[in-house]
Parts: sequence; structure tokens; C-alpha cells
Amino acid sequence: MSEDRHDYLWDGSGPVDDEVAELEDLLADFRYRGSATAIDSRLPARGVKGNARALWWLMMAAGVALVVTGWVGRDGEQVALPVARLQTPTISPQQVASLAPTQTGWEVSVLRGTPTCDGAAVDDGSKLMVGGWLETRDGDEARIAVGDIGEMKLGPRGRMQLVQSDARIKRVELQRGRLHAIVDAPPRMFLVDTPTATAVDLGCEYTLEVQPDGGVALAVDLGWVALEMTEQRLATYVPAGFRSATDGEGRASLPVRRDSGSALEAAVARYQGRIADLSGLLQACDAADLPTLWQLLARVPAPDRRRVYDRIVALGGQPASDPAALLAGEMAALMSYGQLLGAVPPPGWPERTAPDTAQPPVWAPAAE
Amino acid sequence: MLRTEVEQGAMVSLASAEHHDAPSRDEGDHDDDRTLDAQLVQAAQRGDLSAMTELHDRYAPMVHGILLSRVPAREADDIAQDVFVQAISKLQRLRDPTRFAGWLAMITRNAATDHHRRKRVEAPLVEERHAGRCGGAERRLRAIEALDAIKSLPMAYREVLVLRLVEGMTGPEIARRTGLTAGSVRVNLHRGMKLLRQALQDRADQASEGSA
Repeated sequence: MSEDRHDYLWDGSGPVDDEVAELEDLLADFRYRGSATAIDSRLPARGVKGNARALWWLMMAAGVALVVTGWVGRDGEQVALPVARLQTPTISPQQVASLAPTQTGWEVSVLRGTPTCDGAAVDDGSKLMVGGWLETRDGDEARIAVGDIGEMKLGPRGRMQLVQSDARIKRVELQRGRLHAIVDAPPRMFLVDTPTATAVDLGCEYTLEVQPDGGVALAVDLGWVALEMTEQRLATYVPAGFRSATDGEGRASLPVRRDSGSALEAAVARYQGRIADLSGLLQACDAADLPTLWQLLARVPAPDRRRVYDRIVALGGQPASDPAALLAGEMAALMSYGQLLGAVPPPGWPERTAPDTAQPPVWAPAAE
Repeated sequence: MLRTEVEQGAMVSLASAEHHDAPSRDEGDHDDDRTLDAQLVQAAQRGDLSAMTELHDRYAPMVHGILLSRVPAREADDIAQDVFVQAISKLQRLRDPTRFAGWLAMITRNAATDHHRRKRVEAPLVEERHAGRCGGAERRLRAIEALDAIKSLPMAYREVLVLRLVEGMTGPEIARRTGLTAGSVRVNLHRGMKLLRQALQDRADQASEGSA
């Protein structure tokens, strides 16, 4: 081994050491890629300056890597497979700076009946403060302004608490009942915790209902929502026109079209029941079910990925740019393919028009 | 303290390594770097966002590399995020801002240790290797084998090799970022690379014997 080679190893100078260079090239795949991550929920509630929180929000928004994992449900054994990460859109420092702290409570108004806010009947001046509870009984319905980023409605027999409302995060806990939310904000700003999952707004309109057993049902009207099971580090991406659910133990279903037929429903139910009836599920999907198949691709054991991918392509889905990486379960390839199929938000999402009460917001994903 | 990180009998004589340095330039750079770090840390402690971003950008590869040498690849990114959250939470407690590099490296190594404590069963890279074979991703498999070989080396070599070969840092950068002396980094890089070549050769030999 010559001194020249030593120099290349030391600082990259001198003649290239081919073996070192080959290792550099190979191992670069493992290099740190995230400029920021979905760490907002990991920040301690105290002891961090507001500016620091804002920084992390900025960094998060500048390139969030959402860790998505899938379940392998085979022979009754669950295994978490890390499969993907998603780059979410950027917001400018100016936008961050404009997001002034708003710990002033959210305005609440009555749509029907007599909802209560911290035990008192809601009236014109009612506000839901951080830590406060809003409750509805049979026949009640309340409207809540989500800070300055949107609104939601809490249906009958509902109970929710405002957990956090600042420049970075608007967070509520939905203990029971049904919530319909319309939000116009950067991804991951609006979060709804439920007993089994957190609904993470990626720029959208959706309905979320907590079932008696603690499971949740999610139906998305616009954009995308990530249904995240924080403890298990699992996530399901649900695009507009699809729905998903968790059971009382937090097991997440695949996203399925809201108008899907019973055959697909049954096939999904069988598969979620840990019976690896993959063939039936694949056959029950058609060209409109590519987001379902993409999520399935993220969940099946590696040997089954080829079957799922082949089905996607057979149904008219575009081939992946790097099928080998996709089938190897590489996160970047999987998320890139999900974007291609519309299963997850595209890069640059969301670019949108201002919300208009007369018609739904127009969601215009940026060109890649 | 850094010597305690040297594991598996790979204790390196730092004193004897000093003569390998190119002292004037590296040490000068090192001083400049520490000064800049100190300025950034002080600004960050006052809540300066750009300073925090700069610190993150400067140190993210170091944090990730240290973790990658200790935990499964699939876990490293997440733990790196935890480390930065922890660091930013504790930044006010750092009294000597010139010691930021070593302080952050210590937090990172502790995070890796905590990770192993929390894990009931450790099975690094098994999934990745399996996935690579099933997907026919030959390149991916070779990368995993290489990383696996690095991880089979004593820790002193493992860390600097990951920082050099994976994160793309130069030897002087590794020294500046980790707080190690340039001499010990240089020695560990060269000795580690020698061991790595041997380990890769052994693996290749075993593979060819297995297929014969």
C-alpha cells in the first residue's frame, strides 16, 4: 500500500484508491439524507425556546422524512418493516416567521343542540382553550375554528380536547364521536390524536370517527391524510376518495376506495385477518385501486413484492423507474413510486389556492 | 473519555499517532472550526435559527455516522433525529461552547447505547440483506456486505471508517467533528482500512468456498 493511497484515504487527495472509491460509491447509499425529520412530536414540551421549536418546524417542513412501516401479517406474526420515507413540501422562513403564536383558544359555535365547552353551554363568545374539553350529546353539533388554518365540526356524542395550539402545531384529542375537518396549512401542522392512531393532515379535508372500541374510521375527501400509529411507528397513507381504519388494538387496514365493491372489501378484510390471501386481494383490485396496492407493496413480505408490483403494472400502473430498488424495499424507491401512483403526496405538495367557501379548494400538485 | 469508546481491544496509542499529522494546517483548521462552532453555539443559545440550522448541517453526518457504526442502518436516521432534539433541548446547559463537537458526539454515543438497552432482540441488517436478495439488487447486497464487514471491526476503526466511507467526510473533518486528534483518526483510518480489506477478502473467500 503506497503513501499516495494513504493520502486518498485520508483526505481524498492524490491518486484514487480504487478499492476505497468503490466502497465510497457503494456505501453512499447509507449516507444521511434527511435535512430534517418528523420530530415535532418528539420535542419536549418544556425547556425548548420558542425559536428552537420554530427551527425544528422549519427544518421539518423543509424535508420531512416520515417513516412508514408496514406489517407483515403471516402465520400470525407481525413484523415491522421500515419501508419508506416521504419528502414533504417546503415552507419559507418568512412563512414560519409569519406564524405567530396563537395560544388564544379556538372559537366554538353551535350548529345544533346544546354542546358544552368545559361544562358550560356553548354560546357566541365561547372559546376552547388548550386543555379544555368540548362535548356533544345526541343531536348536538358544534363548529370549531382551527386557529386560523381551517375549521372542523364535532358531531353528536363527541368529546374532544384542545391539546396544543401554537405556531407550529394544532393538536386535538378526539376521545369519541365524529370530526369533519377542513384544513389549509402546511403538512403535519394539524394533528388529531385518537385512542389508537393519530390522523396527520397532509393538506386536506376528511372525516374521522372514533369507534366504541377505540378504533378509528377515516375517510378523505381532499388531499392526503397519514394515519399514524406512533407506538408501532406505522403509518397508512390515505388519499382523497379512500378510507382506512384501525381496530381497537390499533391494527391498521389498507386504504380502500370509498366506493369499492364488496369483493375488495372482503379480500382486504381477509388479508388484514392475517390470512395471506394475497391472490384474492390482488384479483379484487382494479385500476382505481393502485393506492391500495401500493400500500400493500409496503406491507407484504419481500418475496411477495414482485406479485404485487406485477399486478400494479398489469392494471395500468406505470412501471417503477428502479424496480430492483423498489422490490428490495428501499424507502426512497417505494415513496417515489407511491408518488407516481398518487398514493402519497407528490414533491412540492401542496400548492393551492386560497380556501373558498363557495367551492372546494383547488389542489394543484407541483410539477415534478 | 474518548478512549473509553475504543472497544474490543482496539486501543490506539494516540500519543504515538501524533507524528502522522500535518500539524500546522489541520490544527489551524481545527482551531478555526472550534471558534466558528463556539460562535454558532452562542448564537443558537440566544435562539438564532440560522445558527441552529448551520450546526445541524455541519454535524448531521457526524451524528449519523457514529450511529450507523453502532445501530442497524434502518434505525440510524430516526435516532439521529432524537439526538438533535435532545441536543437542542440541552444546549443551554453547554457551558463551554468550544466543546460542542465532543459534547454532541457524546450525546450521540449515549443515544446508541440507550437504543441497544431498549432493544430486546438485536438483529442488525437481517431484513436488509434478505430484501436485497429477494429484489435481486446486487449492488444493495454488496453495500450491505461492506457495511456488515465494517461493523465486524473494533469500534475505534468502525466509527472512522463509517464517517469516511459512508458519510464522505475527510480525515481532517472527522477529527474536527468528533473531537479526536487528527493523528488518531489517521491511524485508525489506515489500520481500519487494512482490516476491512482483509475482512472483505475473507468474506469473498468464504462465499467462493460455499459456492464451490
